[in-house]
Amino acid sequence: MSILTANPPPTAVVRSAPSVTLAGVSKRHGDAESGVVALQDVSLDVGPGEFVCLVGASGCGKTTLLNLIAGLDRPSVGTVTVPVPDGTARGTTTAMLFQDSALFPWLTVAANVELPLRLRGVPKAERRAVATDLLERVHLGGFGAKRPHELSGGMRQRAALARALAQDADLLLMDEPFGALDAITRDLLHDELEALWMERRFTVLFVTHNVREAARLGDRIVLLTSRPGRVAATFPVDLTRPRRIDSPEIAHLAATVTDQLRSEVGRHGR
Amino acid sequence: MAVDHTSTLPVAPTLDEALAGLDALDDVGRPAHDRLSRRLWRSAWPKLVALGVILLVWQVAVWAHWKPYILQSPTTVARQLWELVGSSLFWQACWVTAQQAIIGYLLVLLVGGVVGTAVARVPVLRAGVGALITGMQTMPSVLWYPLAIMLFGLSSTAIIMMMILGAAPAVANGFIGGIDQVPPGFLRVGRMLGARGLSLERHVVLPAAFPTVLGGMKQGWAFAWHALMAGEFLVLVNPLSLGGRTVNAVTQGEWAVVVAMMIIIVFIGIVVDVAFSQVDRGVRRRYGLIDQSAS
Repeated sequence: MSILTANPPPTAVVRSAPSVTLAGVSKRHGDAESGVVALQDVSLDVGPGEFVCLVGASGCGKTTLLNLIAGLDRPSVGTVTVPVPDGTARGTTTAMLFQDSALFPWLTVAANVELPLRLRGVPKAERRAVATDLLERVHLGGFGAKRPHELSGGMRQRAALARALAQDADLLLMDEPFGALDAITRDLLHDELEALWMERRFTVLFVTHNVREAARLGDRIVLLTSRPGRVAATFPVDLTRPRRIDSPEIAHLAATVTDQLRSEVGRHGR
Repeated sequence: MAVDHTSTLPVAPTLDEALAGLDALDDVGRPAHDRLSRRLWRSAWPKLVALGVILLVWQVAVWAHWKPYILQSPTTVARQLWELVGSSLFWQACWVTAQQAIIGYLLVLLVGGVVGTAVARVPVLRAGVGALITGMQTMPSVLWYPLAIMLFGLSSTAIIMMMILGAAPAVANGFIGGIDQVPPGFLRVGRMLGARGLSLERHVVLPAAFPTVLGGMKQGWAFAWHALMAGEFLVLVNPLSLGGRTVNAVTQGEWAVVVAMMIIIVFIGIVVDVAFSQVDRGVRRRYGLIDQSAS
C-alpha cells in the first residue's frame, strides 16, 4: 500500500507484507562483563497496518529497540525482520519520528518535507507537489516557506510527520514524538495521527511512557520491563475509533496498565 | 447524579479548526525592525568617534614636529588619498590585487574544504594530518616565501601558493570543527531519510556544519589577505598591484602615498570583514541561532 498522496498509482502497488518480527532479540551495549543489557529475549510481531504502542519506564531499552528495527543498530542475539522494498518500491520503507522534530534548520519547512524525495531523485516539480499536499494534510498549508525555528513545537512535529509521510514508508517508528508538547497540542496531534493512520493504514510502532497516550492510540499495548528490557505483558485495545483520551474506557484500561507498570517498576526498589 | 454531557457541551470544533486556532495562538509574528538609517547610525557613531581620536593624536604629533620629514599631516595624506582615488592607475592596481585575491581565496576554500572534510570524516586522515594542519596554522606564512620563490620564481603562482599554505589550514580547521559539532541526531535523521555516503555529507553534514565553517572561512580570508599583501611586498610581481604600488612609494620616499595606501588596505580589510559579518548574521538568523527578539 502506498501512502504517498500525490499521483497515486492507478492500481495498488503490491508490496511485501509490512510487518515487523523480532525473534528472541537481545542487545548488549559494551563487552560481556561490564556491558549493559538493554534488551533481553524480546519477541514481538507487529502485523501489517497495526498500531502498536510500547510502554515502559526509563531503561526499558525502547530507543535501542527502535534503532534495531530502523536498521541503525544490530542485535547481539536474535533476528529482526522488517519490510523490504519489493524492487518496484522507491526509497526507504521505514520512517522515524523523534521527540524533537529534528527538522533541518537550514531548510524551509517545505524543503524539509521534500528532502526524502530529493534524496531518491524525484524531480523537482513532483516533489514540490507532494510536499504541498502533505503540508496541507497536516494543516500546515501556509507554513511551507517558514523556517523550522519559526514554528511552535506542535507545528514542527506535524511538519516532521509530513516529512515521514513523504518517505512513503510502510512502517512508522515514533520515539516519544509528543513527549515535549503541552497537553492541548498533544491531544490534537493524537486526533491528527489517528486520522492519518486510519486513512493510510501504515504500520506504527509508537514508544511512550504515557500510558493514557498508549491506550488512546494503540491497537495493542506492549509493556516493557526495565533493565533489562523484556516484554512483560500485552494488552489488546478493543475500542472503536476515533477515540477520545478522556473516555472512561481508556481511563479504565490505562489504570490496568499503570498498575502492572508500577509493580514492574517497584521490583527495582526492592 | 447522571449528567447528559452531549446536550450541555458546546459543539466541538473540527480538528482543522482547533489546529488552526492553536497555530494562530502560537504565531506571535516577527518583531518589527528599526529603520535602516537608525541601525546604520547606531553602529557607525562609535567608529566615527574612534577615528576622530586617532586623527587627533596624529595631528598633535605633527604639530609637535615629531619626525617632521617622514610624518605628514592628516590633511596632506587626505589630499594624497583623494588624488590616488581619482587616478586610473590606482583602480588598475585594485583590480590586479582583487583578481589575485579572488583566485587565491577560491583555491584556499577548495583546498581547505576538501582537506578539512576528508580529515574530519576519515579517522586515519585525522590521526595523520590533523596535527599537521594545526601546526601549519601556527606557522607565519612569510616563512614559506623562500621556498615558494625557489619553486615558482617571482610569479603570481608563488603568491597563490603562499595564500593556500597560509590560509587553507584555517579553512580546514573550520570544516573540522564544524563537522565535529554536528549533532549525532541529525546524522540519524539523515540516514533514516535515505541519505548515504556523499549525499549524507552534501545534504546533512555540511549544511549542519556551515555556521562554524563560515567562521573558518572568515579567518581563512584574513590569512589569505595577509599572505597576498606580504607577497605583493616581497615577491613584487606586479608594480601595478596595491602592494607593488606601496613598495614603489617607499623606495621613492613618498610617505604620504605610503600612508594613504595603508589606509586603503585597512579599509578593504574592514569592508570584507563587514561583508562576512553580514553573511554570518544572515545564516545564523536562518538557522534560528539568533534570538529573534534580540536581533
